[in-house]
Amino acid sequence: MNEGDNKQMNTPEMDDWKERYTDLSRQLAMLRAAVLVASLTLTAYLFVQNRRTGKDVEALRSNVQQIVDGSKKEGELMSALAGKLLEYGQTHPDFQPILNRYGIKAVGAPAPTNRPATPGATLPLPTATPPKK
Amino acid sequence: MKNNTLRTVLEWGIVTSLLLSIFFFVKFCFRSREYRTLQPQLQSEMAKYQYNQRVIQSLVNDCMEYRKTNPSIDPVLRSFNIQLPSDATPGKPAGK
Repeated sequence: MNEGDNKQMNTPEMDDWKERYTDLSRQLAMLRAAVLVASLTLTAYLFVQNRRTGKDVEALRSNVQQIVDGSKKEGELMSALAGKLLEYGQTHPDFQPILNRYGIKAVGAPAPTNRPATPGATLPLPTATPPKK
Repeated sequence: MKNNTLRTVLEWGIVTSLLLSIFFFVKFCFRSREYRTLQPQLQSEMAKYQYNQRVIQSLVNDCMEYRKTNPSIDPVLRSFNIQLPSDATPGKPAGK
């Protein structure tokens, strides 16, 4: 650069531009910092929500498992009870109305539906239809 | 120079935070969907369980009613730990 150019660079107009540039740079840096803070806040919020949902899912899953296990045990108990009562009903015909009321039938007995026969006595357990309220 | 370093740090911070946000959001979406799937399953299992309990209770009640006229059913009921009124344990309700 020659002397003439240097003179031109130090004009008051140029100083004004430099000041504006510095000001804009500062503003941009502040904007970046603000965006970073907002972004970190969002990240923290999503992290907390994610953790809460994870805990809820775990609790729900364990509840479902417990109920499924309980249902299974209950089903086994029902089958065993049905078997014993059926055995008892064979020697006590007056007990038959109770067995009929619950649809407890021996294997081989004519069933009202086309359900495949299962070993032992059967008790109509619910499948997909919950009880009417 | 100092300005440049600060700028780089801030920009990297923003990018990292953004990526983490996307990651947590996607994870949150998957977990929410799983939660929504499990909820009806829990309700249906619960209804099934309660229905089973009601059927068993009703059957036991009928058997208890029956045993009033025919106590020969008592051994069958006892084999399932069903408390009979004749069993001397006051305060405990009859049933399963």
